[in-house]
Amino acid sequence: MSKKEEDIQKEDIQKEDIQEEDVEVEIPKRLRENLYDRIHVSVKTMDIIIVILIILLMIALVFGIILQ
Amino acid sequence: MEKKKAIDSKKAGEFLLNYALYIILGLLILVVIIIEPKFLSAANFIKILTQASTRGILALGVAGMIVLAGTDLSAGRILGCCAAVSASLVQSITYASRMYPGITKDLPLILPLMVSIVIGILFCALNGFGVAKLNLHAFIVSLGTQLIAYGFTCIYIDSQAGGAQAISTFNQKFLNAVNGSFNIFGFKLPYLICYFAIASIIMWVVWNKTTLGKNMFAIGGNKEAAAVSGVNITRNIMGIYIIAGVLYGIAAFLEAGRIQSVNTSTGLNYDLDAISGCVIGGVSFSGGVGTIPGVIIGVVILQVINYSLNFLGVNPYLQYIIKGIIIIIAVSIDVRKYLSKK
Repeated sequence: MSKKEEDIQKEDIQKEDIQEEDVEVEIPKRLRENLYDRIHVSVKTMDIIIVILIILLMIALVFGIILQ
Repeated sequence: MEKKKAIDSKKAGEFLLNYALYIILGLLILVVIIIEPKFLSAANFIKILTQASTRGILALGVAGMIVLAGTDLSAGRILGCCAAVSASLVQSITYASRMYPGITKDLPLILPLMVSIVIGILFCALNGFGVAKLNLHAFIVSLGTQLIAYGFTCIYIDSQAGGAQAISTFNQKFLNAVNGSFNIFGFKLPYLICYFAIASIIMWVVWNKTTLGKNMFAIGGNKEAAAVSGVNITRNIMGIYIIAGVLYGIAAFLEAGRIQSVNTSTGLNYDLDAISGCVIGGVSFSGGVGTIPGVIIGVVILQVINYSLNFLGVNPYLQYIIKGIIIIIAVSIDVRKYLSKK
């Protein structure tokens, strides 16, 4: 086997190793999913939701105090 | 310069959003203090802490399940069931309508306490088995257990000779053990607060200094990764649930003595109070996040809110709505923190 062929073989083995490493890295990523990963909203949307909820809370508190 | 201003205002906005709930609750308490300055007195604070004690012990159990990325909707009803059974064993022997007329001598208090703990463990073991072994969601399992516990409570209370009447009139030894207080230089420190403090210290040690506690955070953070690193998932989840059962049993025993009358509605919504306390105290529903001091602060804050709302004369039905919104805000802020970290 010529030196050129040996080099090509080595490169192929290295590529396979890298592909295997990629697969190993992908598994924990998939497993790291939890309850909050299922929420597909942006931080900005969450900000708006929180502000609305705070306004609702304030209204409920004021209503509660007024309608004693 | 303008860029710096924009960054500062963005940071201030983020701070306001992350601590919005605490700011509003702080304002609420401030309003109460302005109306009634006595609100800040030590006696009042002791009163609030006493009221929060039993729910606090319950919340310490529920917190473990939330850290495991689950929840427990049955905590209140399990408490009701344990309280009914333990209360029936501590009724005064001079009370004619007591549940067990055959008991002619006061039982040693350890017996009803142990019975209460065993019942708590049985129900929690059922929940734990469903979650750990059958891989069911804690929400579903605990919903079923909630109904089972409530059914048992109703049957037990209804089985009295006089029909479904509240279990009351307890012996003095039991009442003293629960409602008594230490007299420290003229300052009365209720036993209930001491029990809560002891339970909190023990749970802090369990969470932070034991393998079970560390495994609990690992499982809550990433169950599969914990399993891969050699953590026995089933055993650890069962361990956390059994500890919760012990706490429920103790909380039920103490609650029976505190309210001095147990009926079918005892424990109603206690689970929601416990969950709210945990969420307000920073225990994340995403799992793997939470601290014992956080739970204690959350439960106390919730009790202060309850007290303030009652003090301000807020309609009781509206109080449910307010508490519901508070829970949703707490969870939303938690989600926001998670999303912004991603």
